[in-house]
Amino acid sequence: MELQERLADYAAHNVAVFAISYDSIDVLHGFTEKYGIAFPLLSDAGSVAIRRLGHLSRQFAEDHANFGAAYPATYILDADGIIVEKRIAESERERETAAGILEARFGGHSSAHGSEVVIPGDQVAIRAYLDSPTYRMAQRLRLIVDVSVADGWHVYGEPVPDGYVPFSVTVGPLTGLTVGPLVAPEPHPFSVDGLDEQFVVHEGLIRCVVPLTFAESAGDLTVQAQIRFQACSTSECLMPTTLSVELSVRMLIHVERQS
Amino acid sequence: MTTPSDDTQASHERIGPAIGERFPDVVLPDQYGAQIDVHAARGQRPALIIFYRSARW
Repeated sequence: MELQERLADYAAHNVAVFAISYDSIDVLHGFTEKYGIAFPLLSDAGSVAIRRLGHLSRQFAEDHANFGAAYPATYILDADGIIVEKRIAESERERETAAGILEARFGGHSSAHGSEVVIPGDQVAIRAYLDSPTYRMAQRLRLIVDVSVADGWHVYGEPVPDGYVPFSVTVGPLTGLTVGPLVAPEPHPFSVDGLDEQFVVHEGLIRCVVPLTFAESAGDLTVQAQIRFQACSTSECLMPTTLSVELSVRMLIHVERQS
Repeated sequence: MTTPSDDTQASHERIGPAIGERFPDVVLPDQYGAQIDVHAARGQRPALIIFYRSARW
């Protein structure tokens, strides 16, 4: 059970974890014994709290055996109990990885994230990694690209004047893989004396994230990405650079549930 | 695509409590039958609360 494996990370970041379902205490107890769960699994048999919180799944009709199940979601609460982030599965089948939640929200570095590539460079250094070493069907992972731009240098965001190459991350096609849009910090305006063009640039440390959804169980895979950019200072521009990274990810077989 | 349409986004946001609200009080038994008050149990810590469909299916 993936969340259980990451529990040590959550505890290290002083984050309490709870899970809520409409299962009976007996079912949850059996699951706990079988998988060694070390955090509270709350039993909302009868779906009273699930209904009260507006979380009743609409996937099942009232006469269906699974009616009463919760719509899957994750809530992140700050130290005062205020919801600061909320992730509702885009479809009921899509799930985050626990490592990804830890990484994205708490700024924590999961101790067991996926494969990583580091490319040093004098002006621009790159660290690219997947936020989980494994995937399951319908799971969303993140490709994280940490970019370190040397002082006095910058790379370009968009829109970019003709002749300049903006920062981009392109992920190659894979069976069942849906690649979401790159999420990067806002670039800031930048002007250079003597040049009329308006630029927007990234400087310093930048974290970019590409969401990847694995729609199918397609075996162990290698995610290929091309990172392209052009590094310039106020006095010179280097040639545009394309870096290729390959990051492996293992497929997890769906865990057998007790009947 | 991973980006939902506007309709989907709106209907998703109607599910559950909203960002900025205090998570509602929830008191439920855990897998050992102990009554757990979520806010009391987390104390002063941030928390991750997961709704999932079932441990059984």
